[in-house]
Amino acid sequence: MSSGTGTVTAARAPGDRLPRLASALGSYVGFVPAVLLLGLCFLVPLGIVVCYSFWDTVDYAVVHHWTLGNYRYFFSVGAYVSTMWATLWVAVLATVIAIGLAFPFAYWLSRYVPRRVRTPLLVLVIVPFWASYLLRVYSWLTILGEKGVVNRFLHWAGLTSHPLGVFLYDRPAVILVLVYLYFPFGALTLYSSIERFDWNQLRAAMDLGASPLQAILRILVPQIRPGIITAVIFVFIPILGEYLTPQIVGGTGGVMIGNLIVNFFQEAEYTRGAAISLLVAGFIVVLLFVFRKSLSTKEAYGA
Amino acid sequence: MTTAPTPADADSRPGSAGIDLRGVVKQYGAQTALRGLDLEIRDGEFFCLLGPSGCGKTTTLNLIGGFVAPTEGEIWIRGRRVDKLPPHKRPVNTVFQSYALFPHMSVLENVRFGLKMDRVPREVSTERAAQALGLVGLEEFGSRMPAQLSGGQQQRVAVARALVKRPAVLLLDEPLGALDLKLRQRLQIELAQIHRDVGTTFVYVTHDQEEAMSMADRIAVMNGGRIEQLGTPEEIYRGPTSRFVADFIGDSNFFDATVDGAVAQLPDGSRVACAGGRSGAATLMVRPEAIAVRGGDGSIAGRVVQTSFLGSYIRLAVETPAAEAPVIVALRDVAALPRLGEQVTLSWAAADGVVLEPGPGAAA
Amino acid sequence: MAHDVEVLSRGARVARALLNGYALAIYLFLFAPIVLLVLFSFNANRYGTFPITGWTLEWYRAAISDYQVHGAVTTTLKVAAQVTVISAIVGTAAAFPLVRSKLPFREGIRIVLILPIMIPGLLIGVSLLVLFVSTFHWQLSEETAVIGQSVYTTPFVILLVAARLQGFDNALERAAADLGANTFQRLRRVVLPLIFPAILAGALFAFTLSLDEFIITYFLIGANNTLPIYIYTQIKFGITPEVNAVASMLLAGSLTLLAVAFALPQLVRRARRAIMRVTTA
Repeated sequence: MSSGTGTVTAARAPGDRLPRLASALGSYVGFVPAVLLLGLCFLVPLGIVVCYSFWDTVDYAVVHHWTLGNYRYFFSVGAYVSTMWATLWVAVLATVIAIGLAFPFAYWLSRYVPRRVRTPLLVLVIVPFWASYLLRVYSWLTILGEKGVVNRFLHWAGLTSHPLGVFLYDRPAVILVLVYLYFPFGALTLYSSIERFDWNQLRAAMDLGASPLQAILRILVPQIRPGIITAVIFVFIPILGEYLTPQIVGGTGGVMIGNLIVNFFQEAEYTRGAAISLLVAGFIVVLLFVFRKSLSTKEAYGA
Repeated sequence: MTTAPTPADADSRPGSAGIDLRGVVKQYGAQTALRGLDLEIRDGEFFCLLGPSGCGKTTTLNLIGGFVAPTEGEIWIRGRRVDKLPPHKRPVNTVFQSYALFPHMSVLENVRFGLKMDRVPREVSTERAAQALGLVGLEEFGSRMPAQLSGGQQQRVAVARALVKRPAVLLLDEPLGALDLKLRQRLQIELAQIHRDVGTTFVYVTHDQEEAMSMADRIAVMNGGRIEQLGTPEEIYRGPTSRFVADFIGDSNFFDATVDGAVAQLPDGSRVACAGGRSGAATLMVRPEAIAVRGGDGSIAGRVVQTSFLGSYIRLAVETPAAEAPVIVALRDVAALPRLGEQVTLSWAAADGVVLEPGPGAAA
Repeated sequence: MAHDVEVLSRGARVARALLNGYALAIYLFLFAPIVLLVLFSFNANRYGTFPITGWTLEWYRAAISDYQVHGAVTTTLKVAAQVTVISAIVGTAAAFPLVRSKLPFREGIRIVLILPIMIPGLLIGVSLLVLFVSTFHWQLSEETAVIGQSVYTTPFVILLVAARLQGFDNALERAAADLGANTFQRLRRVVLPLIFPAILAGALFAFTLSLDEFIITYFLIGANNTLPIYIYTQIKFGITPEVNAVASMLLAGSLTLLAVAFALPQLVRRARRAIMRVTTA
């Protein structure tokens, strides 16, 4: 430190140190309500769930006796394990389809749509996403249901003589609705990442002999990789915890792990439910940790 | 043989031109960007498209590069019609204004990209890329990422990347626009040198007349979607054919005049020397450095209203009834410097008084 | 300039036309189910689906006079109001230190604050259920649902306000300090007025999320019903036109609020300019 600034600091120190300390502390004060809310009502309960998953239930009462029994039980029931694999499988498939549909859309929006109508068109995709999750699932009943649009159409076209149940109550219906639910999220995330791309680079690649497809795959895609990863993760994660979609359109064939969790808790089997919840939560935390470098909440929420 | 064709030679063989634009029209909706452009660019020359923004120079470049399709007309490169071909099928490469380097690839990978697209074997492409980097003096930088380079270095990588494919034509879209003056001047020299080394046709777009003058073999001055004048830098500077060109290239003084032979009469009645070429109402253009103060016969009178020392010369502003705006004079000889407010007489040689069509303000 | 990236080859023009059609299909896919839902709520047909046998407001009349719907609406609004107040205050307070102070572990704190929106709501609901019921032996009520929803909505307010604060020109505050304003005055007179649109947008956003929240509420509200819970219990028995009507009203409410929240920053800016013009004229 130079002597000049040294004297200034020394001269101002007595009256200045206290306010500075106060302002340092003051800068944390804003966190207090959030720490209380999110700490006590989010982290603490999660901690309790962790404990529960290793505790025992005797006669519907939780006893503080450490055990791996809840996990062992889960993995010993074939139906549970196969539901877990099915959930992963459905989540992967729905994510791949949703992102696969979202990429051309985001590309179209950022490349071919005039700037001033881009935001309205994007809002048009996003607003229903934030509005009424339940209603968006429910609305598919009017299409896929026994008296739904599809069956009516087939009947009217003379292709079927009586309503078919096949459109509802199975995995394909679950995947379709999941894609519908999470497509906007993928589109928003990919768009905010493609939007910053310098299109001259695509021209440069084509100028150097790349075909349009080569240019997209070799120049655009590698540069928006963080955006793609963010989109994939943030579509994949909520699907892992889906309850409503399989409940409404999945029937018995479309059960996912979320339904198992709800069932356990509704039957007051807290420790076993906690174990499954923790499996899901643990898997999500690992995903978030592995991809933490690429994840950008800014992109995901357009903030 | 492509490296140094003599101009006369190239002229005498129509069709062998490096680039040939015939009656090219380009419309964007209702707007016309180019109105019937005919242009021959010779094989191996350093050709500049010069003009203010919106004059059609970038559109012309994009038409040659294949990023824009002509509304009418034909484009030929080395005797092959290309106007229906997409960019990646033309023997043309581009240096973009923003460089458009691929940020996720190293410098060497950037330069090698074009060869990779042509499926050139890896060893060959690596060697050629290294050569190209050597050409622009960046052989040591192959493993760096573009973000780790300075603006001038990035620009040179962009040149190397475009040249590595040995294109028939290299298009440069204001490649020095983003750089500061000093660096720009250095890179002008380097680019001219690279052009001599590789012998490829360079088509260079700029709005900076100094840049065009310092590098180009020939310049096309463009305005309002057409070519105003085409010629060597010296031809254009000494003999502009329109007020627009005279105004755009270098500094100039304009006088409303009535011309009769080699004599021009100015609004205040004084008679001055001119090169002639047309009679009647005209605009007389004289370059600042062609004017002598304290002239003898055939001179105009005026009063010095400003003197500015600009290093290599001194600039005088002289108010005179012969012209609306003060006449600008560039003086090299400090000994002859008049004082502020001094009455002076200005004169010039007949050849320096260029006669142009009457200007837009001529009536007033 | 983006548009001088013109498509030259035939193939590229075809690709562009295909993409235009594709985008149109996507919008159809996104809106068809919602539009049908609303359409059927005006359909005279008893079954709540095709065919359309006539137009009627009967189902809206029925829904509005249904006491169960009344109760659900009241509960929904009460819960949403509390959630909005809590998350607006807590979220705004947390956004300041998050953006401004050079804290150690800022990234860590940021992740913890944002985590509730990254983790499925199901897990939030379940873990709070364990806390309230099994650990504290509380009775589930509106208040437990309010707490659960606030955990989920607060991070959104934090994100929105933090984004606005990040774009905030610090020179403004330095100028205010230079002109003699103390910390509180700077906050009150300079910072809050400028970020107010973001806070309001965040509050509206939280309100809408609360209106539509299902899974956390489902676990925590006990014997009460919010509108989404009511709709859910109804559709277990099949689609009825009354439920379509209730759903349409909820949808209209949420969409309106969200549209306002998205447009708010611009609206406020315009209103300010209009006021300036009036006062200076």
